[in-house]
Amino acid sequence: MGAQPLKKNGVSKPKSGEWREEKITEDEDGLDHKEVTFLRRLSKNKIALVCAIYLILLVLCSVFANWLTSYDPLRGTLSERMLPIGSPGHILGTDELGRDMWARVIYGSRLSLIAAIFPVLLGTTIGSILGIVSGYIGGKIETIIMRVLDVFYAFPAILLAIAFAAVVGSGLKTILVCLTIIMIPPVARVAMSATKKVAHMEYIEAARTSGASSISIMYDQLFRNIFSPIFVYSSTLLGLALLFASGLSFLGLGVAPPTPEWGFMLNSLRDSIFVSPMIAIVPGFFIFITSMAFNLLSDGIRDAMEEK
Amino acid sequence: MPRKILEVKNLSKNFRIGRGLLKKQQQTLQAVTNGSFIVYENKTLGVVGESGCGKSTTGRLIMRLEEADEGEIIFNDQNILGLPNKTMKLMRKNMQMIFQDPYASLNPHMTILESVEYPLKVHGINSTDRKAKSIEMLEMVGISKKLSGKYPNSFSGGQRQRVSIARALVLNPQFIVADEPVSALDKSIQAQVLNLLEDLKENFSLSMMFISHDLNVIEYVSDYVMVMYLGKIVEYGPVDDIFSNPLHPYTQALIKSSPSMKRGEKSSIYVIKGELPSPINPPSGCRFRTRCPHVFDKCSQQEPKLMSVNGEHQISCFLHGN
Repeated sequence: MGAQPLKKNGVSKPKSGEWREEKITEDEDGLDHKEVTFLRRLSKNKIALVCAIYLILLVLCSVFANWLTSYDPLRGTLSERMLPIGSPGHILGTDELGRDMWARVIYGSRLSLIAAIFPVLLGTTIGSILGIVSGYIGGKIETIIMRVLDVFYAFPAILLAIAFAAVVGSGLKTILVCLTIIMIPPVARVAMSATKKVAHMEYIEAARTSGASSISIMYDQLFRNIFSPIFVYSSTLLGLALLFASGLSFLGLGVAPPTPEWGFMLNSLRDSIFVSPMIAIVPGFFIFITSMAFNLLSDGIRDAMEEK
Repeated sequence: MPRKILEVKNLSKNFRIGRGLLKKQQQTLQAVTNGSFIVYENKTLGVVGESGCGKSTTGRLIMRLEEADEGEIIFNDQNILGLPNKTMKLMRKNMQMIFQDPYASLNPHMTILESVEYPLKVHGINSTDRKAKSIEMLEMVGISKKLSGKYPNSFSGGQRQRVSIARALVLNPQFIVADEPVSALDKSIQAQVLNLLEDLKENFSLSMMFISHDLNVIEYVSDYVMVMYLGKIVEYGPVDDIFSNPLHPYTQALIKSSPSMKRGEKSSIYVIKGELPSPINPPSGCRFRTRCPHVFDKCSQQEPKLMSVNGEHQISCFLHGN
């Protein structure tokens, strides 16, 4: 007979401190600080840092616009139309109706930022939920959700916005709703594939054997595992959202004049492009650098999120 | 007569495999066929067999991670198959599982304290109580309190398994299914974890179903042993009976082919002849007949049934009764 019994009575029972421990990696204060590591890594990336600072300043400017300019962005002095950049009292000049450009830009940033951030936030939330449910529960529910989202995925954004505006009229609401709808399918896809990667892991099975409901498993166990890829992906959508929103406004589907908004300003200054090109591209310049800042920051986020 | 904590009757599970919408391309994998056995209170049933014999599937069927196609699973005198979800949730407090892979059985984004607390959270225990109970369980498996805020990637395989054990015991279950809990660990760590399980089994009056392919481990931990082959139970009995007097040719071959650690004993490597048939198309009659040194005509014509030959010793073979 080949089987050799292990010594049952000969092995001494190790007490708590006597366990043969293999090394444990220890942080300075003995705790794991995932968030701190992330911020530390992000701050080492110079480009991302510059972008983050720019965006923070932009947000501050838009919030405190009243304090930063005494001009009314809605009312202009017709005698002071199309003043060039650097004119006394008007750093960025004036537009075709004599309104101060700097005031128009920072008041306009409010709508542009809202039109970029709000749809991404809401679209990510809804998309994540749909993606997790599809990925974990699967089956018919997954098929239904994914096929419905495919319909929206296939729709060009502009077409959807025009159709929407034709029914409910143009304005900020239209842009917000359309962009949110457009953000949902890609986020849902990312969430679903990330969920499927971990849905069959043994720790999820352990959660099932504990008696946890599907909702508890999705909320308590799954979500934290897919948060990172969703966060990285959504950050790339911000720049896109800003461009889309500006584009839709440019086409006249956004807010109505005289409300300042970068996309619409670009449109109204179109006619002056041969007369005063520098003023005409000011809103375009801000759209460009802001969406670039979002994109470069999201690259930095992705790099900083890389799991060790 | 010891109490039966778990009685399984005629348990079967088939998996449909193969792609394609055409029914032709689908095949049936007979993972577990007509299995019946008993686990007694405070005793450990060791389940042993080669990879793919259905032992893990049996454990998962009992935990209802897979749904059985046929049969009854009677736990604490209640058939748990077909129970409504609410009742099943309460039953789950009494039966828990330990998994094989220590690197996949803990959520990498939860601290080990959160992982151990989770079953308590599911059953509505408040935050202070569950934290206290979890720390107590972790100390019992030899993980000190100051490590409880760390994530699994800070721990070795042996430590992770101990955390998994703490999680399995935190609800004070009566019955544990341990699916190859030490197979992924170094031999030296295996002994520590096995001894821990022995101690906990005594302290908590646990009944256990211990699945393993390692005969040495099975002999060490089990009170009863069940040998499985290709989805069927071929032999069952008290551990001493099985190891001192194995009756089924497969059991005999398993024991003979197990490497010996005894010095001086010439280790002749005994290899069971033939190859493991596919569970999609198991041999007719007795499933072991293609590799059995004692095969005769009846073996291909009829399927042997698991029958008692000597007290609690049962065997499924035409050589002994049937």
